[in-house]
Amino acid sequence: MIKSVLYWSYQKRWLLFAFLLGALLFYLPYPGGLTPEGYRTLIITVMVVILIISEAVPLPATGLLIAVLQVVFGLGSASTVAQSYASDAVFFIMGSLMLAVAIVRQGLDARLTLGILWLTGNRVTSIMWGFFVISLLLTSFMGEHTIVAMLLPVALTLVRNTGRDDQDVRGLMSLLLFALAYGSIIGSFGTPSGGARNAIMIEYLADSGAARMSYLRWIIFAYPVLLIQIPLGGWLLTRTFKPEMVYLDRAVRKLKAQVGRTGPLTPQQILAVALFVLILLGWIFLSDTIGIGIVALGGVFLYLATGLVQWSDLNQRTNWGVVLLYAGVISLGLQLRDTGAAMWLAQNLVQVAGGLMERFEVVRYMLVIGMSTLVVNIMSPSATVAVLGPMFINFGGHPVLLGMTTAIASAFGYMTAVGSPAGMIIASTGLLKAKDFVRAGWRFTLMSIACLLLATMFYWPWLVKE
Amino acid sequence: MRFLVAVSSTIYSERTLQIGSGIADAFSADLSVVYVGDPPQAFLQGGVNLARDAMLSWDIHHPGVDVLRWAYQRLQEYEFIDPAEEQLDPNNLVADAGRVRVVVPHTHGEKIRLIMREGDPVDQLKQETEYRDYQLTIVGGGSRKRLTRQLIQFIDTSLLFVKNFDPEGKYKLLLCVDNSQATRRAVIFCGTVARHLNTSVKLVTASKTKRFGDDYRAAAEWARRYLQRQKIEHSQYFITGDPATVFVEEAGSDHIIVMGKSKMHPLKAWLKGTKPGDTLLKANCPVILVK
Repeated sequence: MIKSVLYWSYQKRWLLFAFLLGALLFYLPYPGGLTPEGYRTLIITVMVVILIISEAVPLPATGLLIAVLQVVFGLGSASTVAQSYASDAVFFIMGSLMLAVAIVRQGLDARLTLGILWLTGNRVTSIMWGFFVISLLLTSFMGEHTIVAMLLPVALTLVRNTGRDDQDVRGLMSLLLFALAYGSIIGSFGTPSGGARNAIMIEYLADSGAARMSYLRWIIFAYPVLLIQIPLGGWLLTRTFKPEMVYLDRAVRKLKAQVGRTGPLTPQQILAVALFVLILLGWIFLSDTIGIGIVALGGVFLYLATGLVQWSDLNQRTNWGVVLLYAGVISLGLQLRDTGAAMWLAQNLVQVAGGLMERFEVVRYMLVIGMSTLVVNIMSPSATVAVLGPMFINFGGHPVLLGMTTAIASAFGYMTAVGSPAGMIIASTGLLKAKDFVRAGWRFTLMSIACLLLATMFYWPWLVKE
Repeated sequence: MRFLVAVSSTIYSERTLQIGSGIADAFSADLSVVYVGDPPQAFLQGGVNLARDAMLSWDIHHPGVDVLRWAYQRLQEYEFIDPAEEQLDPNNLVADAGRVRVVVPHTHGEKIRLIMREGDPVDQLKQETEYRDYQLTIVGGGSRKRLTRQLIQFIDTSLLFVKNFDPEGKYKLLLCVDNSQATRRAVIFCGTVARHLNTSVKLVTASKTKRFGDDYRAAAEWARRYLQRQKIEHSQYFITGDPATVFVEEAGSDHIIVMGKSKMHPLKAWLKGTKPGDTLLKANCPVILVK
């Protein structure tokens, strides 16, 4: 009995810690300048962050706990809390998860492969550039996990077609896998549909009255930051990983033969591509009026209605628990804003930085980028934006610039596997080590931070002046 | 009897598998090989599952399946199972009780099992040992203090830690004898292994003071007589000093230490640690803790 209690306590130590800390904070006097509601919201935030990072309970349970604590702490009635769980950003997350399943099921990976190889030929560095650029461009519209899920098997098959042991081609394997992952990470902030965090930030900006960011306006802000990283990122990859061979003649030949067996494009595949183009057009032209999430859900409806995907497939492969958690975290983010807790946090941070931020605007953005980059490498991009977004929007500068900086910096999860969906997926192959992420990641982090700082200092101010 | 051997990768688990199959052979035990992998972060699990589905259509399997396939081939090489037996079908998987089992070709269905789990290693091994009745769990390492202590405390089977094992080395056994309840079982276990490995046993009784109590002497005498009856070559020593240090120094790197698992109160064991735990952390050789 004692042994079981001891075991349970150890396994759930972070859960116990979160609740004990929450109870302790609850009975402490709240700081000046903060409302009781704001203080309680901060308590919930601290508990939730501990539970998300430690995964002491299943993540959907944390999503449920957020609702329970909001009502129990008197932050809102059950109905208002329930309403805050449903938003366009949540619809977008739900829709994009289902769209990913629908698209990956179409077998378009073979087509993509042929296209990449047609462009690149057999030279290893060319193939690396092909994976890097194609994943970057496609991810900016489709989301990281969709593209990485389609291209990862291709990259691995190429490596295995060399006929050598995985350990003997570590350089080649790392080069291709990181080209795919880092290309996807960079691409993910290019458009609102590149990642859930972008949709969350659009919602925060709109709700706070700072700005309505349309799909195209986001692209105008973000795409130059993305494009400038293509040559730099590709160059960094070739400097970091040294492949064991220069050409992949045999491997490419085998892969082409393998892919060639799938035959020409089927009518279903053509329809799947056409539907995605339609969704893309919907995002560009309709998301400003009906919402990016509604367009995504409409797209899912079309895939289901045309029979390109079965509901059972979607139901089985969509991670509904994550939707619930995101809904909870977004609801908490709104509570941080509404209770003034986000503003209080921002003001205190501004005070800590003293006059430096007033004298040098760049310090403000460096703080936002630094904190976002740090948090994303231990949490997840969307959760980072959901929690930090409301605070940074109130950070004293232009809210749009600060919001965009937070959203984009929250993509810089290069250093760890948990920092991005793409990183997690390539790590799940079991072929990479944590130190591989650090080895390549610090270079990419510095590069991306430099590019983003340049945009915040010289490009974006010009856009918001217009 | 059923033994469980935990593997994590093809690079680091070779020795664990080798000694595990040897010991299972000594006891004519069934052997389950369990792969415990790191789970993807729950936030990103959906993407990982999607990628794994896509990879299956390219005939690329979960890393755990590859490790288990490698383990199966190694067990054939060690002749634990018939080398002529057909290869594994990596697509033939059965999910049950929160784990996935790779179905083994027909004749070996009972002798070996290949299991794949994801999660915290201690929790997964605990669940596996509770799901099926294992007598011995074989794991690598034994150097990470927290993990080792948790395994000793929470895995309710005998444990073999394959630490610094040299496959070419000729190992003798060092049997730690004291007045604990588990010592007798450790003596019997040690005898079986010694017979199979055709090696000698060094009986060591350690006391912090110069005086060895009657219970210590009686236990040592019982162990000596048992080994004598079994016609196993042995030598006996009574040494004064800190038991863990004595055992480790006497064992060096050319013995396998065999000792009983501690029956200390769980809370005390948790706070203070145990003699077997301290011995294991200091040892430079494999250690068997018999329940």
